[in-house]
Amino acid sequence: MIDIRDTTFYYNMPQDDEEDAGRKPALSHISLTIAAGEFVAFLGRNGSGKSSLSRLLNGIELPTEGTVSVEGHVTSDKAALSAVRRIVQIVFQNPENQQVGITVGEDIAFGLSNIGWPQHDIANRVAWAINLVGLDADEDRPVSNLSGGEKQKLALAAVLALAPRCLILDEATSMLDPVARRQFVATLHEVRKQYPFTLIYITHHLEEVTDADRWLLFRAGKVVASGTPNVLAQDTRLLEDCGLELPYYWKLAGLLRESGISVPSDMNELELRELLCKSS
Amino acid sequence: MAGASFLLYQKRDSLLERWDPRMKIVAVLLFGAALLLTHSLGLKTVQLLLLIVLWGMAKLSWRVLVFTLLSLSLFFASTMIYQSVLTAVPGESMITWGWLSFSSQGVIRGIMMCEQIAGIVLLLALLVRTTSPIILAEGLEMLLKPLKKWRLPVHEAVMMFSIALRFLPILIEEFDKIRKAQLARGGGFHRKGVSTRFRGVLPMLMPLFVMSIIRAKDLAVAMESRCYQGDEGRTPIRVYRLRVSDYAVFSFSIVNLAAIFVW
Repeated sequence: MIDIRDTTFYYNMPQDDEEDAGRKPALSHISLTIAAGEFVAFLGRNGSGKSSLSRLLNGIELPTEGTVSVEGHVTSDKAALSAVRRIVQIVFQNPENQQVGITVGEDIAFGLSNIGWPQHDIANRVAWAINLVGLDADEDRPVSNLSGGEKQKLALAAVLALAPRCLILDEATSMLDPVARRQFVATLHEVRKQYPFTLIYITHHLEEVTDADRWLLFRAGKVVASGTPNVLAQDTRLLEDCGLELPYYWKLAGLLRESGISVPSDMNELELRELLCKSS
Repeated sequence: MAGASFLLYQKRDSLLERWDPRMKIVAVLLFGAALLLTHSLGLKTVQLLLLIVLWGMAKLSWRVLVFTLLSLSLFFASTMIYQSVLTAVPGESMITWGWLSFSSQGVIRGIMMCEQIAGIVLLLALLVRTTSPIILAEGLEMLLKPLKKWRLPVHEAVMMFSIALRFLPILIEEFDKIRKAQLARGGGFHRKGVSTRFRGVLPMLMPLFVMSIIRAKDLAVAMESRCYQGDEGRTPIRVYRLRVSDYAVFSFSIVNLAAIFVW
């Protein structure tokens, strides 16, 4: 579905003069593919290149070198840009900075209007999207009256209304409180059960992506590791190096293993609790 | 926050909200022209009273109306002084009140000018408080559509206008946050002399300016990623059809304008 080949990206191309000579690329020689329907987590420190790569996938930024193609459409081809953006949608970190409409309905309808959705069906589609994410608000409710969690659900509804085949969440939960974050993630997984789109999840919270198909670890504009969560979670030094911290129950499982207790690597929070209760 | 609250739209399901945005804009222009061209105190007073009746019909808060008019009191006072004391023409009948003497004609001119200022402000407040910015922008765009033939960026200009209205409350809120943060750090412009207060404004405006630029940049990226590329290939969100009530509003605005030539 997504094919990234030897891609390097600079926000500002370095000039030959002395001052710019040391400028580093935001992304350096990245090559990877993401299959349709895959759930991939981009992990790493701030400034490691995760968000930059997500912007290349939607064609907001274009690679300085190399190519990025989405379902065969090359993002640097201006004629294909509109198709790329219909396929790949992004939910950004700050919900307030991505909402155009003054009411819930207007905001969802904005994207539909942009892609030329049939006028007579816009109201139905807006209602469908509100219902899909379980937003407890009618379409006339002002966006300013929504809580942080609701605003982010609205942002999700607004992009899902466009029926993307790939959704990128760029630290979409970082401004939410823990309860709203859990609700948002639960909603996302519920929606994905109905519409199994490709999901690229950018986060610092590993507990949100323990069920991902693949983790990609970023450091200084490069992908330093790629693998299943169970495999990569064993390498705590690498995770620390990438500024990541394992969820507490994974840490506990690791400590138990070090003490000679057999704990399966794919154990989740509830299964570990059960194991501990049984052993006591 | 309350200072700009008269500019904020809130859905109230009033009759005025259901009027077609194109007709509302045209009616505002015609009514505004009538307010400016009327030279009769009686007619100006009727026009102002009519706007107050429309305010009630729009189910808008009376408190906001009073606040809006009170916030103009400095303008009203200076206008009255200027018209009745400073622009008295020799030969006009003068009224003496203690040591103060002013022209009776000037008082009438002052009242008319105050009514005009209040009328224009209420008219604009009625328009923006009863019309969602997006609907207002759509109406404006439809009215200015002929200008597209001369390749004027009508859609882009209207979109900028609607986004500016959408972000107004957020910017006001942000200004308030910065003000309080500066106060907490011992800064701000709430104490001491005028020059100190004036100098205190700059540290508040700079962060606001920077934040606005960042927000604008983020919003542009978000709009672009949601397939926005100007008005090319866009479907109108709503279809507007003029109804009897819209024609009635238009007819009334014409009659109101015509009345000034008859009265």
